[in-house]
Amino acid sequence: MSWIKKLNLKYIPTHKILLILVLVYFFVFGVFMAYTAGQPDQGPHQYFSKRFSETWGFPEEDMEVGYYIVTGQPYLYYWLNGAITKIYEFIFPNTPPIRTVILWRLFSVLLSMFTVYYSYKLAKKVTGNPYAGVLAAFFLSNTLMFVFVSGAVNYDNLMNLAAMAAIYHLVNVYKGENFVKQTALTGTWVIIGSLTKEQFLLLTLIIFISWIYYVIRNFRSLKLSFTKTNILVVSIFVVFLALFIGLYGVNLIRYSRTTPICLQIKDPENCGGFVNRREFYSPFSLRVFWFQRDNTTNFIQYAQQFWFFKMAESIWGIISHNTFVPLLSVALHTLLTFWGFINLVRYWKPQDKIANLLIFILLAYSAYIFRMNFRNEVNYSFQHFGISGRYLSPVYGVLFTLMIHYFLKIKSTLLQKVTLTLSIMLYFSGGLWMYVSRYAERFVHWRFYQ
Amino acid sequence: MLNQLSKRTINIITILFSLAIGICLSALILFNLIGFYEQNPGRQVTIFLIAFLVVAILVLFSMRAFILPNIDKFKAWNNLIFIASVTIILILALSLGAKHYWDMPLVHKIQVCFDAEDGTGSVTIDEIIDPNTNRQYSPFAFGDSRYPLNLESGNCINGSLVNMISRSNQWWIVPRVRFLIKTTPPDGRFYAAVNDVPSVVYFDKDAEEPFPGEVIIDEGFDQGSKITIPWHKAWFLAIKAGMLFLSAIFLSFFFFGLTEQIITFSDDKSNPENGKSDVMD
Repeated sequence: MSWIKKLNLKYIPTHKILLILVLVYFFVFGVFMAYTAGQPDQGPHQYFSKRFSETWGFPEEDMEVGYYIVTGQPYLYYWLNGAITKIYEFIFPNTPPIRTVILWRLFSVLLSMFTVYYSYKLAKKVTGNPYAGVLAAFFLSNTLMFVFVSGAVNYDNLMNLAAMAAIYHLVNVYKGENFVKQTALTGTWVIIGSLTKEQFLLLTLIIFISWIYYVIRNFRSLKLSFTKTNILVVSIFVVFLALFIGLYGVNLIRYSRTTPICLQIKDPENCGGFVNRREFYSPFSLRVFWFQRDNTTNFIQYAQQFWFFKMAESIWGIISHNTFVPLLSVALHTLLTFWGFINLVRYWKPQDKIANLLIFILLAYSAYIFRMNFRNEVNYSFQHFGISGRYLSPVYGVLFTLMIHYFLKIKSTLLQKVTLTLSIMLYFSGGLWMYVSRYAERFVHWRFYQ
Repeated sequence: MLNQLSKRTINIITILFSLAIGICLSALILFNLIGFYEQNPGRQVTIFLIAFLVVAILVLFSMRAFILPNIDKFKAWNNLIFIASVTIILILALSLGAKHYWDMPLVHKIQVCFDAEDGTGSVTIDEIIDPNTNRQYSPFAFGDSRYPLNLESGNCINGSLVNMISRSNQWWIVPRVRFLIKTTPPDGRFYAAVNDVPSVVYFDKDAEEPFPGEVIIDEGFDQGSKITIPWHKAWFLAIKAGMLFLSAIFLSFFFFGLTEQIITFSDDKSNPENGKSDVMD
């Protein structure tokens, strides 16, 4: 019976075993998605990854290729893909066991696995309960759009990781942990995100405002200790800061904008693609929209009638080049989120600084995405270009953390248990089980063989 | 309650229980997946054993981590209400929401042949689909690992299609098979026999109507062979109902233990009275 004794696993906390199981679960689901096609913008992402695999530095601009530009663009994700490719081709020069595209996709899954891990850390830190962390990780691992994009060549995966890690370290700052180290780590992750995708700059601003607010409020009690670890972490931050200035600072001076547009780099005839949209529509600014207010859909109407539903459909369903929206599952997820909102309103306390910080980040970021979407709609005659819940993916973990945080505050134990149980059931049945049970009818048609 | 039993007895009961629940849960998972029914009996047994082993280990872990430590709490009224409610929800969800759990497989023999007019060329079958559900039939059933299937002139492909028959009468569903052929085929005779009932389509580039990109056959599906043992037997249905019931009961106890662990977790190391251990006993 000695093997039974070994199964006691006496010295490993149960929540750590659960966490490992959730991470393995996510990895398996992510690998399934890596062999599933239809994720957004695979053409450009693969092009840039390939270009960066040609050199250890920055590839030269190809003036013949329409619209795709390398100059002055966030590069970190592509650079990592390029580095992995070069190492891979060095190890397997002749017959590689898997194709490079699959290698990039699996690397994305790995990045997202770390995002899942950071969502565990964030929820654990906020609630003080590691099981809440496991729940948050489980919720994220079963969010269809997140896992779908995780299996793709897509810079969103590194951006999501950077967002989750930066928010986690910012929460540590708010919790009063080693200020120098946590600030430097927040800054480093924020820069990693910014060097990955321009959209992250907004989150950078939100996190920076939150950090400044904390510093101003706690200026006198801040302890600046410079231990060996802190100096090392600050040094890494300084290196990344130099890279940040090297990209965005140079762009601001050279092109008067955060990233140059195609027309600033190439001849107009080589800039096809999205700029053509402007030829078919008459973009006008939101200011002009004010004078059209009685004839055009306003933003409140737009949010109520379209945006919220589209967001829900493209978070708990899949809307991309391939589309799969399980309506019942999406409706139930929306209902659960609404139940989380009710609990937030019921149990919210102004003294709960960490929850307030997360609410601020979630609201500010969602408001920005809403503004971006609405502006696009106004500009392009409500053709719904680029309306997707995946743009909210950097704050999925924040949403789940808040939901679980307030679920754990429900006073009735019975109601609390029912809520947690139904949440777990719902996320499982709307996640991996949805994929497996609908594989033969839906996902097999999206099978990625390349 | 468990204090009266020796540790060895508890271990044996736990293992036996884990094995039993492992069988029930693996059946619940696999009988809902169409891919399971498409395998031959030998592979079905192998898949079942692997799934059973994995699930049984997880059940054993959850028994030790969540159910056994909370066994004394089950008697409280509130907790019994929770367990009963979750059991009912699970029974309803698992039985009514089951995709193929209650269904019975029906196997159709199929032969597809092509004869080009000039004796050369081939037809590329991009996918073979059930048009009622959009389900893709496994290419393994036609001796290939992936689509498309290439059918050379003068050759035939033999295979089988597994359809699931619902226990409720779904008279409005007409069983059919769709051959998706995206590239226009060469002129010739496309022959498909479902359960030896032949259907023939002639490809003709000069025809008035252009080739629609698919061939749909609905003849012969009333003659499929039922695998009566065990799928069509009443005793097997009763066993499946029992397994679903046991799975629901186990899962409700598991959810009780898990949520109890989540809610009562305390990391207060300074106060061992309040602090609750997070390692298994």
